Amino acid sequence: MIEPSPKRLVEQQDPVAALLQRAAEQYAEGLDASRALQRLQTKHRSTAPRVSWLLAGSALVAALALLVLVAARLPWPRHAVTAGALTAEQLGRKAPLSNESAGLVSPQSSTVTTSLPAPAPARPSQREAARADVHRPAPKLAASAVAQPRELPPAEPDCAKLARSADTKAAAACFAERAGGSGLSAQVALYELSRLERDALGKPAQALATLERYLERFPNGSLNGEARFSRLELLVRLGRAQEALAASRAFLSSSFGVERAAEVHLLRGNLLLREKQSAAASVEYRAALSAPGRVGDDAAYQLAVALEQSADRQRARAAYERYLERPGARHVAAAKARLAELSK
Amino acid sequence: MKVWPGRDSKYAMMRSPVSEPGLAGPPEVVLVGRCVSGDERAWRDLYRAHYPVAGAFLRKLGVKERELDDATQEVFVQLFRALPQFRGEAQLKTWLYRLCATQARRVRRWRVVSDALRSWFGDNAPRSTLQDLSDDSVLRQVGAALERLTETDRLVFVLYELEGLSGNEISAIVGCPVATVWRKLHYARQNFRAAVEGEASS
Repeated sequence: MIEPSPKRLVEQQDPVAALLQRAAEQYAEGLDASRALQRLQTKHRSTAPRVSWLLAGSALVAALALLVLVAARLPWPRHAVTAGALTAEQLGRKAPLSNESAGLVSPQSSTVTTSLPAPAPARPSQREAARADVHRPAPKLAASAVAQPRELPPAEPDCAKLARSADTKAAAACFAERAGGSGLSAQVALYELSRLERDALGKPAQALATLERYLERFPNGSLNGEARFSRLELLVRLGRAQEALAASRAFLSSSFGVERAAEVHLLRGNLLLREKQSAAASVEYRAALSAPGRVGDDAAYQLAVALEQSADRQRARAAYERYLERPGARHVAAAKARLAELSK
Repeated sequence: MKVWPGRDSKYAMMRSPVSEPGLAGPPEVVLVGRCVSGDERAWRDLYRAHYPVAGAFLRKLGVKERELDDATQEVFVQLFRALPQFRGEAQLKTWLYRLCATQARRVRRWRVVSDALRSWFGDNAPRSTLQDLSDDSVLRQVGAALERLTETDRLVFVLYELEGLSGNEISAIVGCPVATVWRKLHYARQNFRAAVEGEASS
């Protein structure tokens, strides 16, 4: 099977490739199987008598951990504290608040907490403290108590980020610009652009044109199989049934067809059924029956529908009954309704 | 020209772990058959043949030196348990890689729990072996860049770039279409390159 693979990084001539080559060598260093086997055997010998201790120990640790968790969740009674101090307790538990942040506590929250008799339940104070926090900047202590994100340069590709942030037009422009390049980067950009046009921009015709541009530019591209399958789906969506049937036949006979054969057979079955060719549709559905999940399920149901359409009531009824025996069948209600109709 | 260091020898070892002169059938299947029938020597041979690959792969997936023995042991326990089902349709290495990927994920999750427990009990000192503390800038740099990738992206990147597997093999291990493998690889490469270059410039 021909598989268009991108060139590996290590085969390129740049510092990253050199780094990867050196790392590959070093990752394999010092792995002595004989010594590892000895360590394994020694460990097994010494482990057996310790198993009971280990079990007891782990049970104790689990019980302790459970206790700690329960204790952390319990609303412990507290003495009256200011809202600011309580916030510091919640967040840091290390140092008192600076004067600056303590001065920012709203009078309302201070009144509520200080007026409570000691010991006061923690819940109202916390609520007030949280309310006070909304109106003031977070204290420095709180900021340091929260884990800091790693300060590394952003590595996400811009186009994908734009697409995720729902700025679809900017994302499309970004992908289109990147598609002008070469290699896997351009391939992915063209493919992503077509997906964006299909799903986010709602322009299936444009998406189809983009995919055709991809297939023209990269006839042996790494995403060729996926692009051809997407093209097939778009042809169906655009109502170009005859073209879709021809394309699906070509797809099935290609090397890519093996991977997604069941999905293509199901798709062909649906097209043929729509064209009132129920016998041919049945053949396609049968070819997709053994597929796991949704595809196999749909194929089994659609097979019964195709048999019913071909006026073969007896076989259609049997097919519906077989479908209802499938574990996790998704069209149970519809199948039962059809079965009841056929039994009349 | 030698494009890939150690690639040929490693793959040769993976394809035929132990040569069995005089026995019919592919050596891998024969060896597995002996293992299943309870031949202790066959177990050792299988372990010796596959341990270096599993160990190096687990390291690449972020398993630390102190966790490596336990992790490889667990992988082989799983492998030996699953061997009776081995029929030779898939390569043994595909199984091994899949088991390693699952084990590496478990180790990372357990590390989060154990770190939290240690911090609760006031032990903040990192438990490092000598090798963890070694001033190995190459591994540290590559390791830090790999840490920036998502779990699946890292798996795809390591399998393709460092293990030299094909798209179809990776697709079988990761459980996604080949085209998805290439897309993931593309983004993983971008992020890896950005992380390496970012580290170099800082």
